[in-house]
Amino acid sequence: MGVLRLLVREKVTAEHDDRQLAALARGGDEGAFAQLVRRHQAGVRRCAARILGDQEEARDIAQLAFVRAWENLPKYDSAWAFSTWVYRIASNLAIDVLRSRDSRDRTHAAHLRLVGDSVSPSAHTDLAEGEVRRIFAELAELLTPTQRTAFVLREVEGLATVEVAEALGCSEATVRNHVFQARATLRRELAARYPEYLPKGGGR
Amino acid sequence: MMSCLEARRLAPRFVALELEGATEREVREHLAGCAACREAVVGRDPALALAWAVAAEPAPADDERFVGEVMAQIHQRRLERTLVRSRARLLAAAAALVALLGGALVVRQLAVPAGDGVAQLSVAAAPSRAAVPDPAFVEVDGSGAWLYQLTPASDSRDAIQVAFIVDPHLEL
Repeated sequence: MGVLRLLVREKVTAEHDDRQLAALARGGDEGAFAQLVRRHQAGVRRCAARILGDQEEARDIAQLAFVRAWENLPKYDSAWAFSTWVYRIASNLAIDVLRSRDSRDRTHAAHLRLVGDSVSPSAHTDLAEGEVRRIFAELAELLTPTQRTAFVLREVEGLATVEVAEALGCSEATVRNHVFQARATLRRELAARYPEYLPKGGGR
Repeated sequence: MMSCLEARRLAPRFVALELEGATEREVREHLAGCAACREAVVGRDPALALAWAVAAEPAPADDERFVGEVMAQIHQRRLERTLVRSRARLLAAAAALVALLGGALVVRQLAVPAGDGVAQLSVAAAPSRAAVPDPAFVEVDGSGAWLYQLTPASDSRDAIQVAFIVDPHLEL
């Protein structure tokens, strides 16, 4: 009976938590892994898009992150949330992409695009959707890949410092340093390029 | 739920990244629901306004096609690995066969007493294809594989006959 129970694959349901699904997937259950992808694909794609500033590239990176996760399931440490682990894989892939880019050309192109946008009569003091994405994409190009990733994971995605440290494979003190540097750069450039978006009395 | 007073008191340490764990999480939760406190924090660091504005943008919609593409890539990689493993097993078997036959030849030569005359091998035609012009090898059933047959010159019962089947398509 015990052998029979082992042979009958447990049916994947929405009630399974991530760790249960990861354990099933580690045993070869593709349905369980598909459920994990379904649950976390939006967050991973969004995070990759914020790091890369490119939706299509982010989609490819997110897919590759999930494939790598499947291939490395035996190495997954269930002490960490599955989402943190996939964020780690996706972040590292995104950092590799950023490092391989010709950042100077991309910054120049983004800047030209934004100069055209910022003189439009629709400019206003609220950070409108779409405009935020463009401004962030422009300013984030000035950050190093690691600063950018640390900022996105901690300040945008809301991960705790210890989770960001796990994702980036560095200490919490290093994460704080990256986030501080990123925020200082963004603050300075926001004040220089888009002073109209600064809060009243802000930037202290 | 954290009060505004408490959140404002902790705001400088929140901005300085000095809060951790439950306290940091509570401040975040309070800020998410309190515009006045959020404004106070943004006043200390406008970069946080940018981060929160980006965070407020909607995530991509659930995409079943994305899930399907990920699973298809997983299947493809698994298939590729299976093919590589099969080819490696085939090559290993072929190498083992060649080594075995080579070893048998060496043992045979060492075992035969000197002057027995069977150490010299000559190439003979395959018995079933005597009409083939070149007696050294014959094609097996038109499959592209070649049969090389080596027979001892002597009729001694100690003599051994060796044949190699070689598939020229195999990448060794």
